[in-house]
Amino acid sequence: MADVVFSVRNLTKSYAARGTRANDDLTFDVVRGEIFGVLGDNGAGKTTLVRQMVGLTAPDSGSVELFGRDIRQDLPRLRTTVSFMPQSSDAMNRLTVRESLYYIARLRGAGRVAARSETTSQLETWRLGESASTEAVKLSGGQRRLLQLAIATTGRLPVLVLDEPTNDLDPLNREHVWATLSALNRDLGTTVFFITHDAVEAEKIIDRVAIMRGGRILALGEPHELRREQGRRIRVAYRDRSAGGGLSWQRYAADIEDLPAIAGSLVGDDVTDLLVRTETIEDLYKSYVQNPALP
Amino acid sequence: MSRTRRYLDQLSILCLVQLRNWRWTWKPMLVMGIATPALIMFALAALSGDRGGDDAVHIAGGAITLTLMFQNTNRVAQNFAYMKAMGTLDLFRTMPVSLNALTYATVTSFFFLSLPGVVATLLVARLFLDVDVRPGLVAVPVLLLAAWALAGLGAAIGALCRSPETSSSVSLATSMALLFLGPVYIPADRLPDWLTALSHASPSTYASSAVRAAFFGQPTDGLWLDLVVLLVFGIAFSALSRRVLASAR
Repeated sequence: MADVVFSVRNLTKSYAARGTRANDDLTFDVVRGEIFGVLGDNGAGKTTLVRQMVGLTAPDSGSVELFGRDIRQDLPRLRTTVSFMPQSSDAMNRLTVRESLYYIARLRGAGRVAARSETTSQLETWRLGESASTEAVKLSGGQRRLLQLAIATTGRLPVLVLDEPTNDLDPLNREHVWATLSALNRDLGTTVFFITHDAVEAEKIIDRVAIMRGGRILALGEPHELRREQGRRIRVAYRDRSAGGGLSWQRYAADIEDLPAIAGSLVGDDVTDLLVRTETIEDLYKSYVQNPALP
Repeated sequence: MSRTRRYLDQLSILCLVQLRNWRWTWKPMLVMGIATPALIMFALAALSGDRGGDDAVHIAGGAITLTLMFQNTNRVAQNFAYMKAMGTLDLFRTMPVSLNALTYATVTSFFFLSLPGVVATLLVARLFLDVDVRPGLVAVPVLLLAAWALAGLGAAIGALCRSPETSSSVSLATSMALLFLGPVYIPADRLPDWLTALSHASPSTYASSAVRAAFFGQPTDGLWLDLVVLLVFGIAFSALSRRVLASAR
């Protein structure tokens, strides 16, 4: 039990104005030291979920416990244990990047010298050194996102909750973000809980994943467990000169047991660039959210 | 670290954060905090024809109150609404930061940011209205409490409004109503009785009365009462804004 960071039980939240349940009876645990990702399309209820987990939104029913205590009973502990990165990236407005990091470190309890030292380290970690004297409002969208991540990781709190950490980022910076979060998890044991659309990139570091649709969790587990549930499918892609008279890509999913037969059938002069891979989290995500049989 | 020490640390850090707002407030201060009060002063002085007399003192006191309102009520409302819309408040609410300290730091910082406008308006009043500017020590608590009550009103408006645009309109409309529906620019004896009675519910009435006494030596029988009422307004508005911000879930 001590290893459970968040214990979410029957969490339900509705918005009267929209007439929908944003979260419908969600139950799961987040374990200490894991990297837990939540995937879902727009309107799946992901942001509502994280806002309840950090005490910004009150649930209609159900509870969120942090280390075994309801977060509403122990807000000071929540504030000093969990760091949250909201989706909006304009929080620091007219402060410069350096000022933002320094004051956040101070507000999280660091003294002047420690805050200065942490600011320098964060500027380097998040590649913001060249923008250190730029006001937050004048940064590009990607740099603002990096600043938000730097703010969230300032103070090295043991739990990070991140709402769309790689929005607005180019591929190189996305890769850097996942590598940095992975390093924090590996080196400091930071528990990372995030929501994203970016299934392909997230797969590199994720320990467990929850797939949401319409306020519910459709699937939850380690990626390999979900793959097994889906029948250990593979994805096959190849270029075929004979198809439709031109050179075109063919793609389909198949059971892994059928691989020898598939390989045999595709040997020929017309088939080039044969690619065979196991299903990614993105494939699983699509197969879950597009499955009309699921509730 | 004791709780008091920690609170004071937070307060000073948040003040430094909020003082960085000078980067955007200086331009509106030139227009709304100095030029607009000066123009209204010229217009009313031309209408009244008074120089150095009671009317001129009222006009100058009204101009200082207007400067304080623009720089405190409107800017603080804008700041709170912006913090709500852009996620700054969410960020602070997920940190070990007291909403109480945030509210007081914001109000205090915008008070300091309003001081250049007050000084400039006093100079304009001295030069063009021939009013005798002689601030005593009491000017310090007068300015502090007047700014605090008006900024508290701004904080409450900013906390209650759903967007920066709504907050901007509501705070401007409120400022105009409080300025002209009471004895701020115009002496009370020239206003209808119902309006004078209504104006007792407005912080600008007490702010302008205290400003006239503290800066222009206008005799008053209730300076300390003005200060007490401004203190009560400040406490009430700040408490209201904290309550709204804390329950905004």
